Amino acid sequence: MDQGKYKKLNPYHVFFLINNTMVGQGLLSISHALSPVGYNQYWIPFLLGVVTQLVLIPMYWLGMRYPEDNLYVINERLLGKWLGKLVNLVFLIYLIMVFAAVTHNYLRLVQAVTMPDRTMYPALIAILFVSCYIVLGGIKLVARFCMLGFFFTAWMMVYLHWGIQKGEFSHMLPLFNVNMRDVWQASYQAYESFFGYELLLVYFPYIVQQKRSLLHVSGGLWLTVLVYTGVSLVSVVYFSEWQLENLRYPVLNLFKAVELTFVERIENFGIALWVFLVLSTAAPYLWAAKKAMDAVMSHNRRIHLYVILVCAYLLARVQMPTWLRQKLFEDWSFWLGYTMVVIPVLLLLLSLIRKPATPAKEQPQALAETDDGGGTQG
Amino acid sequence: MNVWEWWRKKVVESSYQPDGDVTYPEAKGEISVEAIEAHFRNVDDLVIKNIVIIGETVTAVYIKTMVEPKVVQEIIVDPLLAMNEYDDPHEVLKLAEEIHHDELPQLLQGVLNGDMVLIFHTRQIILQLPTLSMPSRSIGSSETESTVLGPQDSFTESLDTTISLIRRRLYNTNLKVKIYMSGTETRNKVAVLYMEGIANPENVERAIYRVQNLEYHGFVALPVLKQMLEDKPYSPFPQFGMTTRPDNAVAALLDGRILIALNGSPEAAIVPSAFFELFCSPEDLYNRWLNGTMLRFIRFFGLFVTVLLTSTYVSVLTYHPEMLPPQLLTILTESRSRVPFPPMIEVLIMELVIEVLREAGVRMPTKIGQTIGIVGGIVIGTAAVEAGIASNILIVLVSVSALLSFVPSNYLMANAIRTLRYVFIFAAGTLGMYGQMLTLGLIYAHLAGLTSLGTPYLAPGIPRNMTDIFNGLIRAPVLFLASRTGLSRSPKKLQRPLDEE
Amino acid sequence: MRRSSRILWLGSMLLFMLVLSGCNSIQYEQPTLEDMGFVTVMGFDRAKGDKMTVITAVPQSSQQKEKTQFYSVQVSTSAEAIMNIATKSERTIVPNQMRVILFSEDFVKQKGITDVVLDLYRDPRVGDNVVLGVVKGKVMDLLQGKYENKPEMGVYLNNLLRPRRETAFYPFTTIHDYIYRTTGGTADPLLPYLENNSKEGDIEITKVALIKDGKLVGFLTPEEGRILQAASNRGKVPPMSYLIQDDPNSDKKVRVYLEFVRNSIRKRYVPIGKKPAFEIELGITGNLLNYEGNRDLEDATNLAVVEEKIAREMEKALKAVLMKTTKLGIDPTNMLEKMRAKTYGEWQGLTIKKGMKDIPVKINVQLRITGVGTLK
Repeated sequence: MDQGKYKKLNPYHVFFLINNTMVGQGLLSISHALSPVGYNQYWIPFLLGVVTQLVLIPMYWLGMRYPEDNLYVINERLLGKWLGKLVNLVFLIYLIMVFAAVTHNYLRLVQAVTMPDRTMYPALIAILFVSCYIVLGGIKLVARFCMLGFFFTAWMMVYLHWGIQKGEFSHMLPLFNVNMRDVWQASYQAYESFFGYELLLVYFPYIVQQKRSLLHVSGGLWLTVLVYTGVSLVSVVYFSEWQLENLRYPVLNLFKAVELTFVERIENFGIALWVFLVLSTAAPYLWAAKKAMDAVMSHNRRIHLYVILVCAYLLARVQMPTWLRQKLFEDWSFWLGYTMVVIPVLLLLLSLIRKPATPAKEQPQALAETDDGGGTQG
Repeated sequence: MNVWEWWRKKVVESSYQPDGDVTYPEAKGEISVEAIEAHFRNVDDLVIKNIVIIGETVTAVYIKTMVEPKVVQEIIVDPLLAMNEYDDPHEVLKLAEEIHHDELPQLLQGVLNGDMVLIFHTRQIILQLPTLSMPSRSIGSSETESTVLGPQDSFTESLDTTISLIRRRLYNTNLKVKIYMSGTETRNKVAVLYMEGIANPENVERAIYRVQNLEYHGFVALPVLKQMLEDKPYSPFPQFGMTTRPDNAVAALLDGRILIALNGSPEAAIVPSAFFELFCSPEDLYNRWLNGTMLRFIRFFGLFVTVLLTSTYVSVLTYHPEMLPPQLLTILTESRSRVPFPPMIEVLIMELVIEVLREAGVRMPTKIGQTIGIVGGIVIGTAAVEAGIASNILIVLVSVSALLSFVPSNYLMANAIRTLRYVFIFAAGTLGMYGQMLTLGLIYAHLAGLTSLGTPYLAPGIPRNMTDIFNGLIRAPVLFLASRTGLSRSPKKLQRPLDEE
Repeated sequence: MRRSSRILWLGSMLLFMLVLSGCNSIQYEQPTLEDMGFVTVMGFDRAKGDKMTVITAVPQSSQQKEKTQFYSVQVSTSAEAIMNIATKSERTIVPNQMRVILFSEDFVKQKGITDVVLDLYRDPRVGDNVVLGVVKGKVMDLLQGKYENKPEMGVYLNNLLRPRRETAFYPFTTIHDYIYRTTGGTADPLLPYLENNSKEGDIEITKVALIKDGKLVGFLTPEEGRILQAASNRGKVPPMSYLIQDDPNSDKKVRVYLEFVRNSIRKRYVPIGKKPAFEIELGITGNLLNYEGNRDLEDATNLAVVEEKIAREMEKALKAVLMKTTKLGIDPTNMLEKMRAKTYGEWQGLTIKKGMKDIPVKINVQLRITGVGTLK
């Protein structure tokens, strides 16, 4: 019904886009990432939520100054063509890396749990294919998939009550029994789970109610915080500190605690269903990466999407030394993620210095790319 | 994609031909008996008969297979015989319409439609009389959408009957019926029905635009026409609803939908339609709300069960044996130990057997079909287990999932789901439960991208109106059903005033 | 969506069907249910030197009768066991359906089980709800004993060890519980102790094994186990019986038999000055099923007296158990958790446990009898 409309993301789309892009990446290992603070981890997500909320404000401000431009166009406008393109290229690499890391990490888990004796490349191709199919539907389909991903997986929270039943609530005490170094260490590690909102500026021009979007974005963020807090609370109650530190995917073990009469080992199902969360994280990143490549190449072409997919496939498949893989997927993508969070702040300052309070009106470049890969349906 | 473009271009090139032999009724041509004969050469059921009436030769032209002699006698011969010399034929034959002498194509079309043409040679008058009278199937009850309660009549192959069945329920001048010609060869009639003021004008425009722009040699049945009108012809899912029940059709019209009916096909397409609606039956509204809700839940969740049940058997037995409780494991291992195939092949065999049984039952005459269904089901099932081709649990699962696949009220939807089940089985056999869920994700992504006449197919799963939840998966008590669905985007939102009393 | 994406959708179907299913032929054939041998019980015995003997019970399904195959290998780490056994069987041996893990008494005493349990915890194919147990003598003898009229060994042991009210004197310790308690730094795991009752042809849980650092350090009798369970967690309290001094005139003790309905347990850490101290408040509601004394229990004052006497007995019993365990330096009731929850700084579980026997514990039992049975 909104055929060819440029603005297409309704408030609930924004809400679930923000929420799912974050959760799909971080939920599986949030309690592990927070383990440096041991039993005190359950209030750290709140802390990180506040930090994220503060970062969102300059992002929103920047978006409102350029309501028709995505981050890449803003980059080029403010940093000049060549520097802007360079920054976009860095973003592109980051986005591809995150996309590859998200899918690959999930597949490693699937392999470990369900099929330890099979090679994973069919599974990898399959998941790349599905995320490609989602992205071909445009940002609106991506947002819709996020909505579904949420509703398909949210009910699994019910199974957490097994963990609560068996656990000890006194693990929550003593409160604040931590030193600042550990808090810093844990926040630093766990902040990766909050990445995903940095894509906001890429789809900001598509939002219908841009003025009120900060509210919707914050809603999505705080839902994430709620989910993270819930899961890490249950983990704290159910696990010992040693387990939190050594279990790579605490959620998996929380599933393992479930005992039902008609079916056992529900974690197999839980991990399989997790694919909805992974797809709803991977698809926005893939979409953003495609947009980044469009910006770098100054053309809006579908082949860019396929190139990105091939890159992601190779990143996951090519045999590289473990240290390199670790550097690539963990350290570098980590740092680039922080960069992507910080750059909007710099851009905002730059734009305030360069052009005080004149919102951009004409931007032929942005309007020329009216629509991405065929996302025209309502 | 270049190869595809190239191939398509080739197809277009090779199939292009100027449509020289197509004549439209608006075209002109001089009328003469010779000209008519020339057009109807080798048409042996054409009757060209000269009658002499009060000294004047009158040529009657009609097709005898479309006009009954009794009708000819009553409508034409009797009045003409009673005519006086100076009477105007128009006065005598009150139903007649005059054709100008240069409107040959219209005459031909009229004859083909079952009219009779009278040429008064002396008076130079050409009259066309509606004499179409041929036996047609009487109105029976619906086979594909039968209900216990509510009206039992259903559309027939005659477009007139179809429209009249709707008119018998809707005495309103706002019911608009637009009839178009379709099919370059068949020149059949397609009707577009809608309620003015309730249907969204944009939707009406779109539907009419699509109907008018069809170019095809001829539609033999509505399902073919429907496929050509649909937004995504490559999708396995039907994007328009289809009904043979007038109550269903009227409800759709009242909701602001548009009906498309084809002469010669006893169905009407409902546009736009939503995915969820294809699981609903009019009986949901005839039942009390709680019962109606339960039935909807069964139908809708039956969808998930039917695609996931047998494929879960495959994935659990192949990749996740730890999910089986000990008792079930013992039973399964025992009966599986005699089966020589891997689970995927086993399931495929049994699913195909069921499919073949269904197909055979449908193709056979009703009585034999039933026998085949029962005998085949029981005998093959038992024999397969005894022979060790399939495990006994699988027989149960396959039957349940086959039964559930027939639950959707829309036959095409049921077929789509049954086909998709094989994709799930393959995915489960290769990637386990992960593959199943990935396929589910793919199908969801596909569904979320589909549209029906430009509106989202997954509505109200994709929110349109807040009020849609009252008549979605939950069928709320009638007091709640006050608004039209968001899907139809009706200019009149409410079905009745909310502030009664 | 543009046309080419529709093609992609079609292509998806083909891709799924052809490419992915084609992968089967390249690899070894994926074993399916009937090709797998599921280890249901795994037993560990001590072998010569540093090695251990691992016994696995793999149920064999045949049409008439179920029987169990036993495979045993000598390995030095448990991870090797499954691997080595696989070569002995025509089927693929997998631990996916494992339900019970047994250790011989000797093994637990000498070698410690933490490493083995950790190995199994690490294996994602092994569930977290697998029950652990200690066996008198050799696991091999227990498993291969003749048990008439009993189901297949895996099912039998599993049913035996699953928590039931009647046998709730021993804790239901799973792999997760074991790891959780061992690594938690406060509570210590307890395991059921199984004996092969060859005379009657069945297996019996006779004692509760106390574990410290993965090694067996002592036992509790069922009676001790019962009161300990009542003081450890809410919910499952087994029936108990006590001898009370009922008649003030005679020395004869009266036996009472109690069935419990509900218990509430409050453990508190109440340091006196800097010195740690604990308080345990145990509130129990129950029915008196069997009372052999002379009092008329319909009378409220009489009932109160009996309640009081039984409560004192329970206090005594609990105190005795705690004496026994704290002397060993272990904490089966998880009292220390309360202390940890109030201790800032790093938790020094080990040093505190060493001094456990000097920490005073105040015990207070409140018994409420709601019913006295149907027969007067």
